[in-house]
Amino acid sequence: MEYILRTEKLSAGYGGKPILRDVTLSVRPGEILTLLGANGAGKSTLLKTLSGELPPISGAAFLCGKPLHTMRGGEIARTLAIVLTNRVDGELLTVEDVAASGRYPYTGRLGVLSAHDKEIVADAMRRLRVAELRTRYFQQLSDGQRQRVLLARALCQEPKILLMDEPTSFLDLRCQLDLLSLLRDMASKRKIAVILSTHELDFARRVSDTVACVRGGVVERTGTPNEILTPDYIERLYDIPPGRYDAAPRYSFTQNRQCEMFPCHTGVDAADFNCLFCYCPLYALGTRCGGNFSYTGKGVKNCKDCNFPHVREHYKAVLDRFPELAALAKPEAQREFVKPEARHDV
Amino acid sequence: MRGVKRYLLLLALNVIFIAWNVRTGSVAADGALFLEIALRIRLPRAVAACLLGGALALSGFLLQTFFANPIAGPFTLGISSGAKLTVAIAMICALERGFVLSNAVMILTAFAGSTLSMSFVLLAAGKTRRRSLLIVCGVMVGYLCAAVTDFLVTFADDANIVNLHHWSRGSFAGIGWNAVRSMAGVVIFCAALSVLLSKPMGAYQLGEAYARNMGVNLRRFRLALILLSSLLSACVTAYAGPVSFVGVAVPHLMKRLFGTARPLCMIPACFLGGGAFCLLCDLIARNAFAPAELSVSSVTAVFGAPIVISMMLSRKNERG
Repeated sequence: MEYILRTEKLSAGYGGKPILRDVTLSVRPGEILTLLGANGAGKSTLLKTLSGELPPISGAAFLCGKPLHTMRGGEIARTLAIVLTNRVDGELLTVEDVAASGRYPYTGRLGVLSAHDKEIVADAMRRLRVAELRTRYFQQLSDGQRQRVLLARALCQEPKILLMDEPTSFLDLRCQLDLLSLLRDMASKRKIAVILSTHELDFARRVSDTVACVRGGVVERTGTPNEILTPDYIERLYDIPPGRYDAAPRYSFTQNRQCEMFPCHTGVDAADFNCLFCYCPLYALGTRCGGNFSYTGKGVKNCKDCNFPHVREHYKAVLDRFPELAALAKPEAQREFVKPEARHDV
Repeated sequence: MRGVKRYLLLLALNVIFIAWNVRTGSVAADGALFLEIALRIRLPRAVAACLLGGALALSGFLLQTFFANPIAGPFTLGISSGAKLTVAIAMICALERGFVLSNAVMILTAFAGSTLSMSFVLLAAGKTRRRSLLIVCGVMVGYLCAAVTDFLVTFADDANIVNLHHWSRGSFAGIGWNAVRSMAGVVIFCAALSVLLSKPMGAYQLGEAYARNMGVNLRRFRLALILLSSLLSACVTAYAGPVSFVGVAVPHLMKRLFGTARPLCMIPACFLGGGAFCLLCDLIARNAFAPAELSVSSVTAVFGAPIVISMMLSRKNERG
């Protein structure tokens, strides 16, 4: 089975009226596909069709090779899990209740959890760092915590693919970075495929393997984030007048005086420094690191355009993804990171 | 196991209130006469109050889950009033022709009425996404049905109408063993079926999209939930008339008592809690101004309304 989810000339919409036509997309295990597009372009409609909530108007979606609309609810539930942004309004549901509800397709007539089910729920809550919130009520959590509980719930379903509708809305930057590393981790370790929609371009750039852009009722372009997310195309995608979108710097940089490229970033406020490539564990691998890079005039590797999400926790996930590099990168990966305060004192 | 203790507490309350209801009354008697009154009149009435109270609370819990709204209940959604209207019509027709309605016919007419007003509310549900509007619709349907019933009762000129008038305000009076037997059949059947629905109900509490994703057949589930809650409240209305606030207040009390809304836990809890609540209210209705009897609906309102108000206020304090 090459693809987890694949669509063939799929038209999606409501009441027989297509909003999107001729969608042909596919995701492999462990691949993250991001849907981008303006409000009302049809991202949510497409996700609803892919989850089986809406019937396809024409064409078909195939989940693990089977046409989705012919599959039974329980069968879909064991393969595909959803995470939605609309708030869950369940009253008096604890974090554990919400997470455990993901075991639904596996439990018996009355939904009583077996010891095995409980183990899976506990494991999912541990992975998403919500185990200590177990007895708290879901409604009392912050948005970032809720997102993690809903992800834990999805993991309890033991899915092969995760569909997420705008997981970044309501999240602050820190929670977004958190979500980013959680998703990359799930994709690389558990080989879970993810299809998500978002308006956060920076997030999309960092998280996605593939970006699909929805515009004018079709999927206009599909490709890697670096191919697609050029300022010109972003302006076209969101119908911004030319020249209005100023591609913000992708990463902010931290001064690391030990860095061989120091002083490479001038004119940036020291407080905003977060020079991640300066201690990328893969940096030492030179051309074999797998990221995008160029060489500066002096023959020094410049990682400014690297497409790996440079979040510290993520390095481990990157290394898992490239086992042959992991062996080479080991001494670098284990290097102690310098605390930001300490660095600024230098 | 604090949960078990709470169930035992509820069960004990039911037993105590039944015993109390049987012991006290406006007629002071002893010996054989007391036994006669206790066994023939008071005990079936107490058992009926217990069963019907449980049925109302359970119906309220099902409706609250369905509408995801804490104020939903058989009374607020006009379901009780719909049942009341059809039963009143059937009673008047029967009285005019001079025969007495059997238990089965009573329940069936009430069921017809309750599903009728429920389907009206559901029609409104198809038109709007705003749940608060549904409650408004339900309340309006309720008033409409109550007005028509009042009209019919006022102009139906039979001596037996006194009984009908009493019934139309809500009362557990005059329920005999025969009626208890048939209502027990219906109520226990419905309660057992709701236990079987507790798994999809748990999924539904997270919202429709999640429930569908987890493999719940939404159409079938909704239909089952609606039919069950209508049948439960119809059964209550057929015997005791419309009894207010039990369906809203008791599920809320039980959720607070058990600290959860999990259906598998709440279904027996609501059943026991509703029974205890109605027994207490009936006790007060019978004895507060004895020998005059209050309508049980006024007593449940006195206790239920403050609970509902405190519930609405305490929800404000939670994070939305």
